[in-house]
Amino acid sequence: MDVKLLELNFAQLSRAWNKSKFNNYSDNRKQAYRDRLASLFNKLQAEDFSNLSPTQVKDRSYIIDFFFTSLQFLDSSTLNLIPFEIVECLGESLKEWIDPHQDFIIVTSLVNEPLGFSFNPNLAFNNFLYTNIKTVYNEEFPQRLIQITLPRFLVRDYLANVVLYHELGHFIDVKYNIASAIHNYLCNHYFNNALNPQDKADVQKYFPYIENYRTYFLQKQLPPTIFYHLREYFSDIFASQYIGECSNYYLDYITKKQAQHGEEHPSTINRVDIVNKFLKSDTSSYTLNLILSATQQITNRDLSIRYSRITNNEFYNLLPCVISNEQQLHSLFILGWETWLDDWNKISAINNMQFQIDANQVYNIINNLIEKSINSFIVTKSWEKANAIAEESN
Amino acid sequence: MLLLKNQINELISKGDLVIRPLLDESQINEITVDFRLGHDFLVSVQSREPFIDASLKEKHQKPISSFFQETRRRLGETFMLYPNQTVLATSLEYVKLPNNVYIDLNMRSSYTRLGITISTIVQPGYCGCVSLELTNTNKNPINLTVGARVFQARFFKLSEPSNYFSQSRKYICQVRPEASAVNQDKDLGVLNKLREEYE
Amino acid sequence: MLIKIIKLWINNLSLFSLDLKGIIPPKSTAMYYSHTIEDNKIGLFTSFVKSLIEGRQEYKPVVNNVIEEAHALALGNKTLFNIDRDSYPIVVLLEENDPDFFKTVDSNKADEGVYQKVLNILTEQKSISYY
Repeated sequence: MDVKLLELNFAQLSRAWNKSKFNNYSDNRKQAYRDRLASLFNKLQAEDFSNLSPTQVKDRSYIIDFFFTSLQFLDSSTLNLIPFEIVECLGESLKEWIDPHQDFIIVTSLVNEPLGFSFNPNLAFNNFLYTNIKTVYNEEFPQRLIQITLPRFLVRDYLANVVLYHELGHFIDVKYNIASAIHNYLCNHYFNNALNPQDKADVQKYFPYIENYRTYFLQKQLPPTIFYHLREYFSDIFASQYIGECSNYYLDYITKKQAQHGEEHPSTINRVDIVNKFLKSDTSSYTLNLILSATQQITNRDLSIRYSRITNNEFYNLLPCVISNEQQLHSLFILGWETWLDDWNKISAINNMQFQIDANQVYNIINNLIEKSINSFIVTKSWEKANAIAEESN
Repeated sequence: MLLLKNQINELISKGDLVIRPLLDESQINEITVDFRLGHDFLVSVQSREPFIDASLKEKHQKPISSFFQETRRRLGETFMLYPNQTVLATSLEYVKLPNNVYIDLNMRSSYTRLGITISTIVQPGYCGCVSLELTNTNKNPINLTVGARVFQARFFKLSEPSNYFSQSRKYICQVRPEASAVNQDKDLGVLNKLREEYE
Repeated sequence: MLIKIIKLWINNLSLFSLDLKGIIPPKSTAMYYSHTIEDNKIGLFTSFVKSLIEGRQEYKPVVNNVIEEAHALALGNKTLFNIDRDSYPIVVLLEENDPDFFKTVDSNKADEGVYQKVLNILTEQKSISYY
């Protein structure tokens, strides 16, 4: 890469940094991350790029890319912009899948696309990035950013945001390279005729094109459809651990119950089917069992139902729910969906409403009550923690 | 009839009155309940529009929300209230009132002494966080803490119940401050017709 | 149920147009899009190997670790399910491309010839999407 292009890249970064360096964050860890970026910026600025070899120029460009991506997400992660409540719920799920000593900060970037949900794992799980920064500039980032992108206008939509649990699934998949390992294992067994007829039929059900895939797999031709589809199956199952079949509702609608698979996505029918089997603990599917056992072997954690139902749906009484633990926190989304899909006349009748409640009102009620339920749980926990600290220091 | 501590407690224990989260039972005093300052604020800002149109005269008026900027704080963080600035906030607590009890809200005297005033009535059967319209009449900015007990409510029992939902409501289960929806008043539509007749 | 979800979507759209003041039309895109990380990892690792060949020894530990993992995978001492997860795509890419070489390689005695061999595998024109 030409040094001049690196200079251009750095000039662009300087302009972006001039705007971002004064951001304030409620979260001390974000503040610390920002301070680390400031130090890294000074080191980049002090360096004479014209003395670098082409390999070193490339190294620096990776570092500048890292800097830009960090800024993109930190900029929109001030408390005014970040969807605080949903991020807290995702954080609770994350804790169950990440080793406790690892310090991750979930950050968000808001986009204008109506379906623009995504996770970007680059800043969290690419250790080579940090090795590079440490080797070149002796800077260490104790925290890693987990980047979520979501539609700006759906920030407070807790029905649509169940999708983020699926995106978290992608994230866990990338961290542990689960789908990738299953893909290799599955294809090797299938194409070497190591499966019994029943298991083979199950694989053919979830990957109906597999017979034509042999050459693709052996010659590494594009696209690696089975790999892509495994990623989706894994993430769907991952999400359903926390939100049951909720993601199916939205998926069914968005994809128009698609019966055909695409390059990157299995058919919706198959996606819904595998999730339903998982939720019913149906052990008849070789494919599902393979995903479950591979995940256990790789992560030392089980894919299992990780939510606990709130028995009393107080949304009908126009009340936020009292949440006792993290498992119940996730089930708020299930409750929200059930209320949305139920007969809204129940809400009117229970509350003696003398008017017809409309979709817009129900939409606001459900979202407000989910938000308040999550928020009250967080506030109560923080309050208890602060009181304990205050008592200790007295 | 003004409700006393034991009567308020009884309503809570029966589930007729809901206050969530009630972080500390000492918030319930002899004749009042202390409420805490919530996380969210709508701060009035100057806009390109010359005025806030609380009428229906202008057909293409900017929404009132565009004269306010949203901002959030975490529990324990602070919010600066500037002199003469209108700030909409809410209680940290979500309340649901019985259909025969209304509440009368005032700032706690410690805050009134600083020059912050509110005076609001919340109707029987209301459910949601309590809306606060804060104005600082002091000459100096005042730094407020989110989660602090800033205002208090007196509970009054009516002789007969009323139905909060006898008509459609602009705000149901509100949990964040919302800008005025004055332009949705039905009366304004009628009055506007009258004005159009004059023209 | 479908009608309820359509209503939800209409609600979403009204929020969308409200937010953008109707200036930018809604754009459709792929749902559940996930960024790929593998190209970044392989690109960076390639850069490490080049730096090492150019004489910057500080990259030696990280490069040797990957070679060691590929060696373990080739010998069957480790499987796809328990090799190092962070360097997974590179380890599998290397091992699959020359299993015999990685069976015999000793990372402790790796020299420029070994690193050059690794670099050749990494810089061959091939799809990395499988890893």
